[in-house]
Parts: sequence; structure tokens; C-alpha cells
Amino acid sequence: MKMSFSQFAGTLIVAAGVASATMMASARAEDGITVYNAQHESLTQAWADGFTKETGVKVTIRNGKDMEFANQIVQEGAASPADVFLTENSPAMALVDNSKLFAPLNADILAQVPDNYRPANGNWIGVAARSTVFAYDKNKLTEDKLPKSMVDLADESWKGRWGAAPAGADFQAIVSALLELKGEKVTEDWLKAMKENAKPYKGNSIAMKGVNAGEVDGAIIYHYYYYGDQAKTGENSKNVSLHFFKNEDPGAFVSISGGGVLASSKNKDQAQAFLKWVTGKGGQAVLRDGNSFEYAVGKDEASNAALVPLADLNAPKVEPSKLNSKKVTDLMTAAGLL
Amino acid sequence: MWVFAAAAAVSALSLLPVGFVIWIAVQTGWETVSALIFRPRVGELLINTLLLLALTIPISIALSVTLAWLTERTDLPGARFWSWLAVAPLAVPAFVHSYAWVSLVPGLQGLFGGVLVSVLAYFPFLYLPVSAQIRRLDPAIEDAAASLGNGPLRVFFFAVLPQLRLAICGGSLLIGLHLLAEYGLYVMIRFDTFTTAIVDQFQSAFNGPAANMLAGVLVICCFGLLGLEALARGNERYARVGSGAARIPVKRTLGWMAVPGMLLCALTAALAIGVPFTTLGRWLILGGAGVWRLDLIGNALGQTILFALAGAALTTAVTLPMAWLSVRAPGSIQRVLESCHYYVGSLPGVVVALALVTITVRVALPLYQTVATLLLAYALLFLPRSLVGLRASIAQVPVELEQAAMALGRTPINAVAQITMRLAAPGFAASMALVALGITNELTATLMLSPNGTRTLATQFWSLTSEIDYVAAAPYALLMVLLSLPMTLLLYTQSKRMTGQ
Amino acid sequence: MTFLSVNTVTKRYGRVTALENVSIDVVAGSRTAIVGPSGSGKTTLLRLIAGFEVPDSGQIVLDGELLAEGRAATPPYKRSIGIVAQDGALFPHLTVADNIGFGLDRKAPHRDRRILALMDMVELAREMGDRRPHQLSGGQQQRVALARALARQPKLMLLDEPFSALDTGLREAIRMSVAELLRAEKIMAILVTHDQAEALSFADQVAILREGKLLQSGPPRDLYMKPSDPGIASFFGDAIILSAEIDDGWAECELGRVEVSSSYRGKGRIMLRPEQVVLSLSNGAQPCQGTIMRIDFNGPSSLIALSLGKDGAPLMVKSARLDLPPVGSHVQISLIGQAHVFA
Repeated sequence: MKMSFSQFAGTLIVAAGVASATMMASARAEDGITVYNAQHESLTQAWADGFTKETGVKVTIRNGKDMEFANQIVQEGAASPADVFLTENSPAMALVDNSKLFAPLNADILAQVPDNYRPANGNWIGVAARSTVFAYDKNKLTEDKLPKSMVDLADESWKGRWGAAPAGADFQAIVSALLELKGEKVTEDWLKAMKENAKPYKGNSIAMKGVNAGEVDGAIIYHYYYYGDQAKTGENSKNVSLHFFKNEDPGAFVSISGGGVLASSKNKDQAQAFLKWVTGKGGQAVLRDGNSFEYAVGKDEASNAALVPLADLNAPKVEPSKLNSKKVTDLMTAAGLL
Repeated sequence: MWVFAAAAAVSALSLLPVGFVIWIAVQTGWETVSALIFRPRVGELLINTLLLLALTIPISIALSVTLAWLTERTDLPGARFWSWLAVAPLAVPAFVHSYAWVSLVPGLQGLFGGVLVSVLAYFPFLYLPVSAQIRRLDPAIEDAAASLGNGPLRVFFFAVLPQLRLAICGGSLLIGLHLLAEYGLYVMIRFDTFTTAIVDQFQSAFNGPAANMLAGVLVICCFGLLGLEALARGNERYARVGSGAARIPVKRTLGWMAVPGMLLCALTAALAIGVPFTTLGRWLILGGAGVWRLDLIGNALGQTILFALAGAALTTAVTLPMAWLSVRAPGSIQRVLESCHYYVGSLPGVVVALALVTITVRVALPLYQTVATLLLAYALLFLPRSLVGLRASIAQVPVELEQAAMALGRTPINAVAQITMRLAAPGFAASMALVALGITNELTATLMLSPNGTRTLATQFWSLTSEIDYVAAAPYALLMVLLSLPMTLLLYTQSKRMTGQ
Repeated sequence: MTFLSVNTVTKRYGRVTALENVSIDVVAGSRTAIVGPSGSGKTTLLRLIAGFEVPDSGQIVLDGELLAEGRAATPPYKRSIGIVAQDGALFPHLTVADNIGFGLDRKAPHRDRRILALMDMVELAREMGDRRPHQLSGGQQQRVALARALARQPKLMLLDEPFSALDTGLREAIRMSVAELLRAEKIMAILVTHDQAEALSFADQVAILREGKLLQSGPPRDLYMKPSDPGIASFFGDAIILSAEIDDGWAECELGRVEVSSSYRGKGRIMLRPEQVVLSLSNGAQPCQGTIMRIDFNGPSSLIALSLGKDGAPLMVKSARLDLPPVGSHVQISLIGQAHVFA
């Protein structure tokens, strides 16, 4: 070793210094906005790129999960580094809103989305939507053997035959809809039955893979996992078909992915501009033309042509701001699912 | 004295995670705590975790000891080559192992899958110390046992195996702690352990009491393992195999047994290295040039390397006082401080991260989501790795040299810097490399603590595999393997040098 | 003139007392050896003088300068004391020349020439300068260590068993050349050793330590011939210790009437060195006789077991004579010099 120790140590310290300085600089970028993103990373990245291209405002994305971020924002309070919060489902938005941490959205943003895809108080807004489906193994089940309602999956006959991803915010949103529509007793019993009957998966895509591989007959997931895989290689969904419960069944629940501007944000104008862009033509076009396969919610904005139209789904009416995430995780923890 | 203060300060920091769990438990109140701990779900997780430990560790021991014996004490053709292949799986991060397996055998899951992939990913942790130890064994003992009328099998079980106890205990502990801490592997293989359940809770409710109480149970499991290892090790810790040039052990002639021996080696290598590399290769070919999004990959690679370097530098810096103390000023206080350093490294990343998230968000907001906090987490997680390396390299420098320098007019600090540090530098570099390797493949703490906009190879790989975009994830996996290879080489040569080969 | 003064120094490690109230004075220009079995505290004493340890109480004064008083002490790098350790403690990453020059200022004038002069002084071939320590023999390493310590022109040189790792023949040669060099350079030295012969031959003053206490110090001859207790006596070599009735400069013992160097009266024990006992063939008239029971021939000398005709253990005597009478012969026992009385 030719290098003397002091040189070695010096190099080390300089390296560490440069490293931390660079990272501090990249993390503490004061220009632009920070988005706490629980949506699919690729979708939000596409939104952010489009927005930055149009406005020049930089977007820093932190990825996580709905409830993780919602609880995190509540804890961070006024000190939150986030400007915008994007979720996959409504309960997390409701949690933050109940803690009075959202800034009211400008009227021009609200005007871009119909009433049924945003809460009445206008503190946050739907940016996309997804529908609950029963993804089933088309080699094993025929139409007549499919469950009529999601509630039927609690039945003894379904023991060991269906799956879901109970730890995910997606599924928890569906449970919160069930809770809102059918009440605590039904939900509690259903969850207990689920603990007995269902196979837990880590994530919707993995649950669909399980159906595809014949591990279970079907799984409660959202629709776009199927379309997304079909658009790529189709390898994980070649044996899968989708069953829409419709009929205003809890299993036909359409979950609204939300966006909101934090009251603590120091870049409120840019944050509002971001949500305006996401709910406007540019952002909704990403949903239509990209490979996210989530439903567009903007007024007069079309969804991807491959999807069953949103209007045909016959979803139950649920006021998004009433979805109670805390109660759901408590019930699921009590049922032993978490 | 300042060295003592520094070591004490680091020890105090290392008590933070457990102190935190206790503090939360007290705050939450006994009723809620017991409701959260004594419930069937925790029982399930406990059974899962115990089964995982009870199956993986013995299988790994059997496999490693057999391989070590074959490669070190027999005339197995190509023994060097096989011994290399037995260490090589370490270059593949555990969650890349499981990524390879689930894409090869999509149905692989649950306890069986978990045990299979765990054994393949972690058995080198046992193979390394066991083969080093078996190489050092004095063949005279075997000869003596054989001359007393014992057959080869009895000789192995009654004369050889007991002498491997220390190596086996140490390696098993290491594997056990990894099993408790690993997240990515078990998520992909769909096997619930405490760590995966804590992350589930974290994702459902951030740092709620349920997550913290699961963390508490996990901490108790870790302590249980440490205690068990101490029991199994007995008081032979300081027993050394006699110095002096031991006779070169006679290599046993395998004869026709060489065929099954080589088959075993080949099978292990095929499962532990063949599977990851072929699936990785397959995804890379499928993806073609399109998956090499050089801007994104370059950014992740750059950040990973910066984190690894900065983390390794910080870890080394904070470990230094303790390492110096335990070599130069051993005593009862030093032992207490040192055990603090060791215990914190046995905690899973998720527990440390959970503690730091809550502490920074509640009482140290300026540190919240900063590089500093993340680096602190790395430092805590990798304290033992660093300490072991530093201590050994300082111990190689006799205190007389430092004193000679002082008698020749150097101040104590100068003497340490010019003599001890200079002579220990190669060892320092090696232990820093090991910490850097750990950071490169760290997932949970990075996910939970990193500043906004952070993308490392591990987190990118993770987010892509979560969307089952296995093709796009492949370049990240490949880069992690490439970064890990030199460190694995280092580990291998170190274990050889330790025994003078 | 006292040059180094160690005054009632005590050092404890936890509950273990390493040194207790040790006082020793060293005269300018002299060489002192500290001997004692391992664990006696001799190395601790050396480390206290060097400054690597701080005494719990007591003083250390060097050339009028107070080095340590209780826990207040001058750090080692400010004491002008050289040290040569057991294995030399050479810096393995430096060449021989750099090792020797380590204590010299980097910018000191004639630094290289000074290094060469030092190598000459310790009789080290100049071409060794570029070698690394591991390429040298043990003796050469010790010469480098000595040269390195000499470079700073210390007032006092501490030698911590520097010869014990060397081969027997080499050990004596190096010891003698080191002693000669220190004398020529007028450097005071303290040697720590567990080898009593080394201590006796090297030093002007020998101090013996046991269990942290200074038992006796003085010129080598005094310690050998007038040890203060039987333990010290046997530490420095074989001793014949006999019970005796002592009166007025004479002792009555198994060997008859023996002249002693003390005016003690009453029962006591006396000591003789085996070299003081001379055997000659008996002519029957002399008072003290014995019978040769066994002879162990060891080359230069023989060990002879004598029966004195009474019960009790045989008397062991050394003789360099090659014409010893055969086993069974009666011999006449006579003594050279006086016996030492343990008071």
C-alpha cells in the first residue's frame, strides 16, 4: 500500500463529506415541490415529468403506502416536508383531512372533477379511480360458480379458495367501504371468516400471480393489475379472468385515488398547480394513454379504451370522506389479519 | 478519557432502539400492550419464526459442515473451486435470491420456500468459519481417536465435530439474526415473520403501537438467540487451538465416494448460484437494451455508492473508540460498553428504523428524513461488523509500538495516528468494505428513513419487483451482485489468511 | 549524586497492588538492574519511570525535574527517556534507517549522517539501512531499537528485558557491548530482567522486587553474598543454608565452627555459597569431614552430595575439580571466606 495513512484518512473524510453534501443538496432542494406518493411510482413519475415539462417546476417524489403516509403526515404536523399527498385510495385522504391538515383546493381545480369523485368539503380531490374485482382462474371457475356478492366469500364453501392482500391499503379501502355500507358487525364477521378462508398475499399483483398459478380459485384485487399485465407480457395473468360484482355490491366498490395540498406547504401555489395539472387534460391523458389502466375521473375525460367503462360498473355510492381507516386496521388487527 | 466518553456516547446511542420500545410500551399502557402482544396473530408469527429458525439453522449446519469437510479434508477433485462456489452465494443479496426463485418457480412459497431460499442465501455464513476451523484442526486428535478404535464416522462425530462448536455457534447466530431481520426475501416468498408483519403494520398505520409492540417481541427473540448461542458456546470462548505449525492434515481419500461428494457440491452451487444467475440472465436477455435506463440506474448506483461510502466512514469513525478501548484498556466497564455495541447490531433494520423515525419526528424534527439519520441507522446496524474488524486489526499492532513512538517524542494522538492507525489501515479498509457491502444491500431502514427523492439500487429493485416488473428490476440486481462480488472475495481471502494459507 | 529518585511509589490496578511504597535512588552515570520473578512489579516500575503509567502516590524525580507526583505526571513524550523493549518494538512499516530516524526531527540538519553514525555506534552494517525490520535477526533488531532510542540522546535508557529473546551465546555478547556503549556515552541505564546472572553482570546496582515490594538493593556482590533473606539468597544462585548457634563472630553448625560476618548472638541461620566449600582428601585429623555419596558430572563443574555422618539431608557442594575422589571416599571440608548470617 503506497498511500500513507493520513492520505487514506483524508480521502475518506473528503469522500464522506462530498457524499453527504451531495445528498443533502439533492434532498433539500428548496425549488419545486415534494410529493408524498402512495400511487404507483410509474404513474406519478409520468405525471411529475409531464408537469415539470410544462411548468418547469421540479417534483421530488417520496414513495410509500397510503396509510403509512397518512399517519406520517399526521405525526409530522406543521413540520411536514411534503407539499402534495397522492394516494391510491380514499381512507388515507380522509384521515389527513380529519386532522385538518389539508389546505382547501382552488375552485378551478374542483371544477375539473365531478362531485361524486371528490369529498363535499373540497379539501382534496379524486385524481384517478379503480374498481374492485374478483380475479379468477378461468380454467377452474365458470360464470355460474362465481360469487354473487363479495360477502359470500365468508361462506364455508370458499375455505382455502380465495386470496387477497390484507396488508395493502387497496384491500383496506375495500373493507372500509364494506364497513360503511354494511356496518361493523357484518364487517367483523366477514374479516373473521376471511382469516379462516383466504390466503394472504403480499400485494395485489402477487395475489393475481397466485390465481394465475392455480394456488387459489380467485382473489379480491383491483382491475388494473390484470390490464397492466396483459399489456406487458401477460405471463402472470394468462389463466385469469375478471368478474365485476356490479349491483352496488360492496365488491363493486370504486375506490378514488386522492390528491391534496398540505396546509403546512410552503409552496402552495405550485402544489395547487400540480393538482390542477393532474386532474386536467394533461394528467388525465396520462391515465388514458399510459399503461396504468386506472380510470380517469376528470369531467369529459375518457379512460383507457381497453377498460369496461366506469359508468357500467354499477358501483355502490360511498361518501369518500366517511371511510374510516383506523377502525378498519383495528378490526383487521383484531381478526389476526395484521 | 475522551475515548471512554466517546465509546460511552456511542453505547448510549445504541441503547436508543430498545429504550424506545420500552418507552412506547410504558406510554401505551399495559392493557393495550398485552392486547397487542397476546393475540393469535403474534402466536402465528412466533410459530412461523421459530419454525424458520428450527429448520434453517440445522439444515445449514449439516450442509456447511459437510461441504467444509469435503473441501478441506478430503481429496475431492477441484476442492478449491468448490470452496469458492460455497462462498459465492454471499455476493447475491437475500432478496435477489428469492427474486430468482419466485421467477423460476412461481409456486414456491410459505415455510418450505422460506427455508429453501434462506439456506441457500445464508449457509456461507456457516461455511466460512467452519471451513476455517476445520482447516486448523490438529489431525493428531483424529489420529488419536482413530487409534482408540473408532470408525471414521465416530471419529468425525466425537472428535471433529465438538471442536467445530465455536465456529458453528457463531455462524448459526449470524444466520439466526439474519432470519429474524430479513424482510425482502420473505415478502417475495410469501412467508410471514415478525419483520414482515412490522412493515405491514407500518404501511397500514405508520408507527402505531401495534408495530412497536411487534418490534418489542422481535427484540426479545433476538435476545433469546444471543442467550442461546452463549449457552451453546459454553465457556470455551477463549479456548484456542494451540499455536505452532500444526501438521498439514492428511487428506482423506474418498475413492468412489468422490462422486456423490462432487454431486452435492455441484447441486448446492447450482441452487445457490446457478438459479440466481440464470434467472437474472434470462430477465436481462428478455429485457434487452431497453431495461438499461441509464439515467435512473446511474442515479441509483451513484446514490448507493455515496451512501455506502459515507455510511462506512461514519460507522468506522464511531466504532473506533470502542475498538481501541477493548484492545488497549480491557475491563468490566469496557465489556459492558462493548456488549451494547454488539447487541444493537443484532436488531433488525426495521426495529432501528422504527425507533429513529418516531424519535426524529417527535423530538428531533430537524433530523427527520435527513441523510444524517439514515447514516446513523446504518452505523447502528453495522456496529458489530465494524467493531470485529477494527478490533482485530488494532490488536495486531502491539501497544509497545505506540509506547515506543511516545518515548521517541510523539504525543499520544500522534503515536496512535502514525503507528497504530497506519499499521491497522488494511484491516480498517477491509472492515469498511464489509460495512459498505451491508449498506449496499440494506432495504428496510433505507425505505423508512431516507430523505425525499432517495433512490438506491436496493429500493429501486424493491419497488420494481413489487410491481412484478422483474425485467426492469434485473439491472439493479445485477449491479448489486457486481458491487458485492469484490467484498465476497475479500471475505474469502480473509478467512484463508486467518489460517495462514 | 542522585540522578533518578523514585520515592515511595505505589501503583494499584483495581484491587491488585502492583507496587507498594517502592523507593530507589540511582546515582548519576550508573547502571541499575531491577530483578524479580514475573509478576513482581518490575515492568510496572519501568513503565512508571517511562511515563506509560501514572503512580497512585509517590514521586519520581529525574535530574532535578519532578516527573510524577501522585497522579500528576509529565507525559512520556516530554520526558527525555529512551526505551528498548523486549522484542525491540520496531515499526514494521518503516525501514531500518527510518526507524532509527523516527525520533529525529524530519528537518534536522545532517539527519542522514546522524543515522549512519548511530548505526556505526551500535555496530550495524550501513547497508542494513534500507531493510525492513522483519529481514533482520533478533540481535540486529535489538541494535536498531537501541540506536533508535539513542538518537534522541536520552538522559536515561530503560531496557525492558531486551536480551531475553536472544540466543544464549548472542545474549552475553550483546549485553556486554550495550553496557560498554552506555558507559562510553555516559548514559544512565535501568535494566529490567528476570535473569539474575544478567542483572549481576550488567549493573552497578541491583534491586530485587517481589510481590510489588522492594526487598533489597545494593551492589551486585552485596546482594549475592549478603542477601537479606533465604529467598533472595536462592534467587541469585544455589545456597547452602544451615541452622547454627552463633556467638561472637563464629557459628556452630553441621560443618563445625564457621566464621561469620556478623556479631549476632543466639540461634540463627547462616548461608554459604557452594563455591565457598572446598573439598580435599581426608587425612583424618581435621574436624569437619564427610563422605561422598553421589557425583553428578555436568562438564565444567560437578555437583557432589556429601553425607556428614549424621542424619539429615546431604550437603550439596559444587566443585570445578576434575580429579574428584570416587564415591565413598572420605573428604575434608574447608571453607573460603565467611558465612552470611540471616538476622
